[in-house]
Amino acid sequence: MDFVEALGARMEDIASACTQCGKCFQACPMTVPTGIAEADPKHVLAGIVDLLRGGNGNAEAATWAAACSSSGYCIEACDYAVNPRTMVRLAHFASVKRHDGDEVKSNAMKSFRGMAKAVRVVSRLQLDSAEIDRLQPPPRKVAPATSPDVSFYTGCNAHKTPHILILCLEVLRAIDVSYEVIGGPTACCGVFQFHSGDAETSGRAGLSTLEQIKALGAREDIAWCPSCQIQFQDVIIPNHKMMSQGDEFSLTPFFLFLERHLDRLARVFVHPVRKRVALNERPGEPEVARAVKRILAAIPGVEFVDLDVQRVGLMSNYLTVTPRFKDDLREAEFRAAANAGVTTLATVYHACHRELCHFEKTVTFEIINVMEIIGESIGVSADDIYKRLKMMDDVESMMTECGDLLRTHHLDPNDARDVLLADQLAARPLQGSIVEADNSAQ
Amino acid sequence: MPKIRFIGIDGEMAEVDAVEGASVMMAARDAGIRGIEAECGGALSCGTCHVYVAQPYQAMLPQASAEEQDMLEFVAAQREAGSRLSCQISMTANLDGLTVRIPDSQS
Repeated sequence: MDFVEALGARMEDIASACTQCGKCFQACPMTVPTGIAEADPKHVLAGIVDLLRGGNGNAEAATWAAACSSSGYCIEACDYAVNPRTMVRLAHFASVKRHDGDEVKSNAMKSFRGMAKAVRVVSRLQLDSAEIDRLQPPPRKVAPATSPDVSFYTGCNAHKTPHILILCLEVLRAIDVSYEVIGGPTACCGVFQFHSGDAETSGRAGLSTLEQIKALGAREDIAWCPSCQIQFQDVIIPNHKMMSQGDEFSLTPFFLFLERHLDRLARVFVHPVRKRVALNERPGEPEVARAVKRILAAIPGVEFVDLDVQRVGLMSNYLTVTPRFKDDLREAEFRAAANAGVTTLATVYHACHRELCHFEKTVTFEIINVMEIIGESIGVSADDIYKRLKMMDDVESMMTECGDLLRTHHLDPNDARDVLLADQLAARPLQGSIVEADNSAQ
Repeated sequence: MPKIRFIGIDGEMAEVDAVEGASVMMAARDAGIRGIEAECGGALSCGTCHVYVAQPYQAMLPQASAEEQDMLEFVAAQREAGSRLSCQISMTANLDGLTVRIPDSQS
């Protein structure tokens, strides 16, 4: 059985398991901004199941699938142990594949190349060669001489905000966890190709990365990026299991690993952090949000404030298909944070940090990543160069600031300028085109 | 160790030692050869390690797989008779002296 066959078999299994009751649709926060909230849930689910089976589905199903923000509220809503988030993601894949036909491979390659180029340029405009090699090591030719405690799988786009990854490694070191880093575009989870409807290339990329991680022989494999986590959980790992007749593999989200070692962490939380902190919480991995709160609660001096605002999306960039809705959510969160008198709004994930950090100059609190708070209590820090650049709001100033590294890494200035304009001064939708309804602005 | 000759965009030639069993792409990367981006690291998903294999080596290489042929459809530079993805060329002793030209663009 190859990857495409395994994916097809899983899509049929999920289509058969779904009763089309529509509870998942009713739980979804994306139906209002996309203008499909009044659709008959059963009709939409019939369309989703039809898409999974290679059919045309219906307009509402296609819109819903395209707008999925991976918030995960649908998972709890399902009474039949179907994972509707996986189902909707697979339906979107099927819809794109059917719509784009022969173009899927070309689109997948363009999407991957665009991401890889952006990661290569943006990370190199911040770090010297030694640090790039540490955070994005080339694929290993031989296994490490001694098994590390963990493999730390970073994903790709997290390298645009390398201070977060540097702090992750510092924290692992502080709690005496040995690690091997695997990440950057050479260890792709396949999500870009998957979103483009190209199962074959997505599978090749994801399975290659899975083998790279396994080859490190770590006692536990941990992952930073929630997109990679879900792509592995939903697509790569189940297909790998079917293709290998049951070979087990799993990835632990980084913050769950830290939470499991909270006793060790607490011992190194020696510096009080006098901050009143609200979390830029995301619902897509609820166990991660819970873990982060427990870790913050263990830091001396931190006063945690729970904001009562709507939470949507796996990460901020999952809402780029509904820009007005995203803006509304952000403004509501900023208002609530200001009213609560927080000193700090802490992002959890890298994409949220990229999209929010520069708003710091417009609000009354700092916007930092939660790893910076954890690091501060341990006594380690890393400069958030991404934020410093982004707050310049001007590409020529960024280019001047990065001039030395531009030359060190032999980057083409025109390429670098284009990447900065697209990546730092504009948002790039992960899923595809905007699907927001015209009348959805609230 | 078999040697590989890389002819750069500017026509300059660089000769590097290759490890048997390792790919031409990995040899290029280890030697810091510019113009072979290899963004995906050899997972056959980017087509940015495109090279033109010179004669008589073209005929000495195994046929490109269907997956490699697929990716070669989308390389940035013009596809020619000797076009191959360097991540798919595994070095052997009898390929000693393999000469490849680097295209002017990979993405």
